Amino acid sequence: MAKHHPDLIMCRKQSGISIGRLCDKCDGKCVICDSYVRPNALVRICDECNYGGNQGRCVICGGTGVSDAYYCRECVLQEKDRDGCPKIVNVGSAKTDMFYDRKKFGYKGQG
Amino acid sequence: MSGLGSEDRKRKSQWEEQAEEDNHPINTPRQTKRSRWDQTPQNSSSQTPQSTPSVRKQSRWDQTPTAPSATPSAQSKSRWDETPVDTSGTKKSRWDETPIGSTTTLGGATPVGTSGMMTPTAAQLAQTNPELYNQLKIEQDLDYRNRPLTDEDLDNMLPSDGYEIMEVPASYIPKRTQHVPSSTPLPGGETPYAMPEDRPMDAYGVQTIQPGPDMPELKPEDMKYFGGLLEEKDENVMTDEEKKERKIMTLLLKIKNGTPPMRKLALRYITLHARDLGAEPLFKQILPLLMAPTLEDQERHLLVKVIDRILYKLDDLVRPFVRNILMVIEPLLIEEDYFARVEGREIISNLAKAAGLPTMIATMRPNIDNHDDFVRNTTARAFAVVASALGIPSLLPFLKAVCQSKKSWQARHTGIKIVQQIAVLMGCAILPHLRQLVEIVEQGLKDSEIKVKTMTALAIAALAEASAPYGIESFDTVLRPLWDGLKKHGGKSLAAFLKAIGFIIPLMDPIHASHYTKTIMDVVIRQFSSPDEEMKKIVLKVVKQCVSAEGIEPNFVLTKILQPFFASFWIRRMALERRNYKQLVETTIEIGVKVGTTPVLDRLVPLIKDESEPFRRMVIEATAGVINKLGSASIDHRQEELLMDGLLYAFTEQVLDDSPIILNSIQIILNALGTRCKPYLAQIAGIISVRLNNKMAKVRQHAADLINRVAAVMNLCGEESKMGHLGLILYEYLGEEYPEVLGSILGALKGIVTVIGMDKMTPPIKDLLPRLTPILKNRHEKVQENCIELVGRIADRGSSHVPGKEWMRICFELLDLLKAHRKSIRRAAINTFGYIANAIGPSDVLATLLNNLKVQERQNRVCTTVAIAIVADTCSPFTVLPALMNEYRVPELNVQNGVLKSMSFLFEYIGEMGKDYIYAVTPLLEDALMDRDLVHRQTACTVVKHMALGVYGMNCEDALVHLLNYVWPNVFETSPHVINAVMEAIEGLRVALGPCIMMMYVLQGLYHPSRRVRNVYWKIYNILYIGNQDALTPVYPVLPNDPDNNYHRGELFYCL
Repeated sequence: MAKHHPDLIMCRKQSGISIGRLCDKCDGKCVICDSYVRPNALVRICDECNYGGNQGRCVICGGTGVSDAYYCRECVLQEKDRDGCPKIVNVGSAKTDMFYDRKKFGYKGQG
Repeated sequence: MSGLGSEDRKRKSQWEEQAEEDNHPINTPRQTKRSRWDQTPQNSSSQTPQSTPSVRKQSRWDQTPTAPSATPSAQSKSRWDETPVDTSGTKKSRWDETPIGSTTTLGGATPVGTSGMMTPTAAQLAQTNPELYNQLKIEQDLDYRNRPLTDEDLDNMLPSDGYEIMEVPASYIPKRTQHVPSSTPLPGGETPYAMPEDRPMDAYGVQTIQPGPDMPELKPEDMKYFGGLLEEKDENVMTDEEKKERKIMTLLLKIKNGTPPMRKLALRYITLHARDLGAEPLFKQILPLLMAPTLEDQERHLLVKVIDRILYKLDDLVRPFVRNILMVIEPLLIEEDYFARVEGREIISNLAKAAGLPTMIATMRPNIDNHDDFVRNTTARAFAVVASALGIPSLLPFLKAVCQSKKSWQARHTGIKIVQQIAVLMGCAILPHLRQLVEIVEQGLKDSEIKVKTMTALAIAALAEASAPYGIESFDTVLRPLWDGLKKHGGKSLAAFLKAIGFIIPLMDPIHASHYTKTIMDVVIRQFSSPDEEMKKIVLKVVKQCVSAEGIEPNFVLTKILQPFFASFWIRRMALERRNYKQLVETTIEIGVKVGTTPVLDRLVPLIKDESEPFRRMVIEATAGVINKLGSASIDHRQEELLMDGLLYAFTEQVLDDSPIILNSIQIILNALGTRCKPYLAQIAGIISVRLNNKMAKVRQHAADLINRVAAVMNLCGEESKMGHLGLILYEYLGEEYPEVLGSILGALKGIVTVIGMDKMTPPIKDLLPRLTPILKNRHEKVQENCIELVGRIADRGSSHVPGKEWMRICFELLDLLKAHRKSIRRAAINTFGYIANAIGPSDVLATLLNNLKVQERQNRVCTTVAIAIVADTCSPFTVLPALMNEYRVPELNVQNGVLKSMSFLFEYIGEMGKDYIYAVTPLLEDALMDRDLVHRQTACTVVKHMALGVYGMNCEDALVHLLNYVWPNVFETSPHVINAVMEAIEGLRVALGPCIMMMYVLQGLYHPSRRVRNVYWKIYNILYIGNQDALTPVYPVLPNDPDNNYHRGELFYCL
């Protein structure tokens, strides 16, 4: 997701022992490049990103996690798995814009 | 802050507010409007009749009888605002909670739009909130459209000749229907935005003005801010300032009211030129707009976005405006919408980073002892955000000073609240500073103000919650005061103290935890019956914390807690509110974990058959939760019977809700019981087959859903014949009309097929699949998704059951599914292409797909390229690549790009298999990398990247260097996507070729005379350095040592 939405920010603190998770929708993606093939290394996130309400949340979109997250082979080769915690810490403008667009037309669903 | 319709923004947890109000009858005259009944006698006696100045809007009841004529001019309030005469004295009624600081109280507690009492005047309009305003606008519009036609209107509509106006027959008595206008016009008071006589006949919409040719429309309420645009002015006579002002006004209008493309352009312009336009002119226009009472949520969001973007650019230039920006942004922090809160947090943290801590503190300091608790609340939250942005340690000295403030209790209260908010916001990140934070708040427990004490307890609770399970030693000092407080307080503050202790107990070591739990439990159990909702939640939370703590014996829970807990909490009322519901289920599961399944289920199972559906749902969810955690081993036969009976009852009685909780719970419980379900399966299958025939769609849907859930267990119990039977029934229902139900039926079939396998499936696959082909045309998402998944599964596992012709037919249907909005549908469709290609060979499928590259729609083409790559992956690339490369010769942009994109995915998927094909595709890539079209080069770069990473270490360096020579000239591209792709290609090649070769390229431009060239080369150098710092050592040029540095690489040279 971060690849296609440049305004998303990754946490990038020192990763801890907690394992990153992915939600139903993001399942199978590489957390860096969104590739669906060749999962290679398990994603570890920092303690703060796995704290409290964030526990077990999707690394990419913050949904309920259902499976472990992986870096793909290509990202591992480029050592992008060593850049720190890859949890997305902000809400992208695409999501917020959509929420408000829907709200304007009185749509009261999950944004 | 108060001008922002604060009545809406003021959403604090009710009890907290109440606590604050209750304990502090002495209030400040400027802010509060209380009735006499609320004030302490001493306060009102000090109030002389003359001392009611006109600013102080008091109700008539407020005035002392000696001055009946005082402040007549001040009575602009509506009657609804006045305090009902309430003799209970201390208790405030809801009518009293007027928004503090707003002068007119149109909003008040009475919803204006529906009261039908008043048409707003302009002055009142300024005070309404956007929802009311819009509602009024719509009402006005409706009234206008539904007005009776006048003779004039009829004359205009009908041609004059050939028609005659008939006399009304004398006997005709018109039937009078009472037309009740929804808003009574005030005598003489016309609304400013809709004056019927001004309307042209054809303008049925809201009155709008268009300031220019490609400008968005101006709404009447915008006139105040954008009116300047309507004045015709000569650009040449304007000063620079005026020009700028006009420019900003245009941009803001485009952002606020424009179409999305217009908005995007304006936003980009304003971001890029923020520094040229200047901070002051920008904020001078943005801030009043944000304060406008008629601003809709979306418009506010857009303007906030503008601020966010320009903050980055303006950086320290924003300092003079920090106060004003905070004033409009802070209320966002307590909005209802999660998104608004996040937005507010982001802006404040950016602001803090841009303006620096001293400015932020200086700006917000006056607010911490503001009399308005709304202001204090938002300030505390804002400070917490600043702390998270700039680090807690930098804020600690300030907090320390504030929390010890002698000046006012409000300051101390706010300081402690800041600590609480920091803990809530940052979670376990407070751990390094825990001791300091606790020390800062601890003396609040001994404060003379009860509100400060309560807040301190809440802050300690938040700190303990955030730091769990560490840090008990930091709380040592506060244990004793908390304990004492528990005995002294009642009501709200008792709740806060309970909460604090409840959160500290899990941090303790087992012996202490057990001791403290035993002592605290008496108080907690006494509070079980408290009518206060907030107290209930806290008590539940405390029970959960205590029970889950190590060192509490199950026996203690069993004897002391279980009985009163079930008696006072497992009641129907608890199911009605979501937060209570969740908390109760969680706590019960926690108790179950401690004491084991049997005692809890003994109490829960009889409740499953309760009359109230939400309550049943809650019981079942808790039961499933307990069983999920502990398994079914300790459930005896009798209990099992009761449980199954209850579950089926709950399932059949399920009417109201759509939530999958009951189905999920049934699945969990059945899975846990495993083979023990066997005796009940006949009954379940019976219920399902009967209910599939029900005339209510929802019932059929639930039945189908249940099949999906129980399929796995049925298989486990060896009930294949039953499942085959259900399969046949489902097959007959494939003609279902309701898409929701059809989707569930398909899902159920999928569940059955998955567990019993393709060969044993009844109906046989060769009959089933032809029935599914037409269903693929269905446009409903749920149907599409389930159908494509079922077809995909059949294609994957049982393709041999069906002739190739049928699969081709499905292929054509699948192309349509690539248009679907939902990504999972598109992915399933693409994967199915792979399975089909595997089954019937790639050539036919490929021909279909390559044809599809010619379509206009981008999404469709992209999906097709992915499908081609998947086909290549499943059927080996050599079956696909020749045809694909041949397709590149079609002189059409879309097709060529599609081919390149397929290759990009192809090389990503095949990975190291790519080494056999790299020489074959190199000429094609050469061509693409030299193409005039940007997208060609961009996509070709992506191909190179994937190829390079795939063949890393496979000895293909010669081809890669060749490609690098074609990639390299593109490093100066400026379009963001292209340059990204180029940089990625270079990074991929860096891995495959090694940094030394890349370094040779980079060295050429590192010291180029042009800055633009140097920038790019240094950027690439940095990529190399980050990736292969050590490997670069041998390739640096030989430099003579200078007095400061030693560049000689001795070790390297004697190896060479």
